[in-house]
Amino acid sequence: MSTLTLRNICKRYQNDNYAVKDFNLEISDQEFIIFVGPSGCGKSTTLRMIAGLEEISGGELWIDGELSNYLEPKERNLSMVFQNYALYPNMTVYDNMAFALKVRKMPKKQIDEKVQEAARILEIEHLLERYPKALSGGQKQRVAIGSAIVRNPKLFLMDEPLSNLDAKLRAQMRVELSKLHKELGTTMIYVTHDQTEAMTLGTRIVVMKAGEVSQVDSPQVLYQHPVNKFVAGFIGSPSMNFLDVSLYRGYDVENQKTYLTIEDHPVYLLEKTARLLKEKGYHRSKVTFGIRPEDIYTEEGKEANPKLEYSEAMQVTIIARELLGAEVMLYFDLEGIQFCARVEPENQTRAGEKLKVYFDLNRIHLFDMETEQTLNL
Amino acid sequence: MKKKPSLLERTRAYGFLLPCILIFAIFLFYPFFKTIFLSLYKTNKMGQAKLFVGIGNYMDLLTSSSFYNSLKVTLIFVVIVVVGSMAIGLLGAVLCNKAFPGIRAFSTAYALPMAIASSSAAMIFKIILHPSVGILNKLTGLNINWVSDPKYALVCVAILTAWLNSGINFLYFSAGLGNIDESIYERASVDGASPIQQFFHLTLPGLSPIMFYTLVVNIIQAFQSFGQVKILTQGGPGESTNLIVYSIYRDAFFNYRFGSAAAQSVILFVIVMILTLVMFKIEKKGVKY
Ligand SMILES: Nc1ncnc2c1ncn2[C@@H]1O[C@H](COP(=O)(O)OP(=O)(O)OP(=O)(O)O)[C@@H](O)[C@H]1O
Ligand SMILES: [Mg+2]
Repeated sequence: MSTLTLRNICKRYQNDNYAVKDFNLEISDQEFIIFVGPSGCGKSTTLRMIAGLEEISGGELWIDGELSNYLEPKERNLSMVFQNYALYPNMTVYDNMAFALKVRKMPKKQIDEKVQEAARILEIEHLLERYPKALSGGQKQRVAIGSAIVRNPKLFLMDEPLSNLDAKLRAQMRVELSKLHKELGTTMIYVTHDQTEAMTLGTRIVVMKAGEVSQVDSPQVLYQHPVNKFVAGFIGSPSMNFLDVSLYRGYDVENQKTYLTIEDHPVYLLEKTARLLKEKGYHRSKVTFGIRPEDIYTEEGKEANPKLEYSEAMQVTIIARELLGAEVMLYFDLEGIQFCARVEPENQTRAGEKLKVYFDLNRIHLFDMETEQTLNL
Repeated sequence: MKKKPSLLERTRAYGFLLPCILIFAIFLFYPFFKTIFLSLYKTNKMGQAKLFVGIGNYMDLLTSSSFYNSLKVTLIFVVIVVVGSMAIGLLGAVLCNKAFPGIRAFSTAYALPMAIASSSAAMIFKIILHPSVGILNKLTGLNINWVSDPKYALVCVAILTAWLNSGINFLYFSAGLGNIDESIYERASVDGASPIQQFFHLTLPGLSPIMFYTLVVNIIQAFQSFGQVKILTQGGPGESTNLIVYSIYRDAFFNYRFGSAAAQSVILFVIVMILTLVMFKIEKKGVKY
């Protein structure tokens, strides 16, 4: 049960670059916070500062209302899964998992119960007598998770705990972790590269880029209303399609509607979008246009969702088709940039064929070309 | 089917080995077998075998109280030296395992004994331990004649030797500590282990593979200590520091009893051999990871 406040947390190593810069976050009790971001953006560093393994160069860390910048790791009462597992090579799996409890002088019987229970959840009961050397990467990872969850800490810190598991096991563990979080109600901070994990597990997601927080929000908001192009492109898979376009305000066409052109086709923006743009002073300028693959519709898709507002039809030539089980991805070029559209599996369009596509006008994202901030938010 | 190597090939192989074999033969095998040979004879002053006595030399030794004293003194000496030198080396290595300003100076200081000849170290200690001008008595205010008092002489020599041998142990242990993954300490500190618990649960077990090797080398080295005894105490006072190696030296080059000296050498060899074999046996059982 704990709250955590990070106020302007910074980390600098010997060189003058910031590994983490002005990290602000307020985490309330029982939250499941996800850190995502490209490799090297400072996720592990932030986690390690919270754990007390890395000195905080600037800012304040409050755990349960207590300023904790200078607390020893063991005084913080957290439990952590390390990115590189950090198993004790001289101890069996059992002892690895029991270690944190042993040093806390918990009675042997109780330790045994906890370890057996964790081993059962993680399906490593048959490995308890082995040494870490004799484990596969995925098994090591599960032991590392096991060592963390046998305890009842204030806060769980997990650094890519499922990265080495196969897809099936990963899905299973995801469910287990979510269950565990519900049962224990312990606050969690979880680093991952996996979109599904981020979207399904997190109550809030922190998107980081080059040591700075880009956006913190619930998965839904993050997905539908990214604050900038980076977040828009990072969240979602396959990622959003981007294209630099020119914005116009028609004088003679259709009641002075604002529109942008893609391959000389006008795409008329909705009134509310146009107003937002105008308020921000963006008419007749170049902007970046973005749309997610699932917001591009075919004729059939359009008919199936008659309530949505669509752009005019745009004729494209399909260059590739990908069947991903329950859905089909179609690839085509617009102004030399490759676009991806997720369409219904019945669609039979082959590479080389022509197809009419429509954009869902409510799901169009527009970004400033320089600052990359979202304009229609 | 592999073809049998031709005669030429085989000869060539031995040809390559020849220099090595030759050097071993001259400096190792010949003296070794000569020693065994001599131990079965009474010799003249030139060390030539004159009278075959069979195991007579050994019988003499086994009934001599002086020899038993030598054995006992050697045993005590070896225990103090091995424990002491490993403790000093380990302590130094653990202290120097963290990066801090001046680490190089400290590391050099801990490894230094390795570079000091035992006899010159003994000379320095002779001055330090001197009853009237020695700095030890001056600092402690005691008035003890360290190397001339049978109570202290052996301990003094042993501690000097422990310090001398600690240099190489420092290196071994430093290398061993370098092999321990830093991140397990991080996990241990998050897990709530105190530094002492970390030392006993992680550091010591992590050193166990190199610990064994160091132990064997140390024991053998301790058995062979000579220079410091020769300079500091000459086996005295009485026979209180008459280690086997020193006793061999005395028998051979003072008393000209080469036969007896050879027999002692053989016994020393057998003891070290057995100890080493036993330790390897134990190690095989004790290897955990
Ligand atoms: N000890 C160090 N000295 C200097 N720079 C460091 C050190 N440790 C990390 N960094 C730098 O800090 C930045 C953040 O590293 P961090 O390990 O937090 O990345 P990450 O987001 O966890 O990446 P990944 O997803 O690959 O694990 C990186 O640019 C890295 O090079
Ligand atoms: Mg990382």
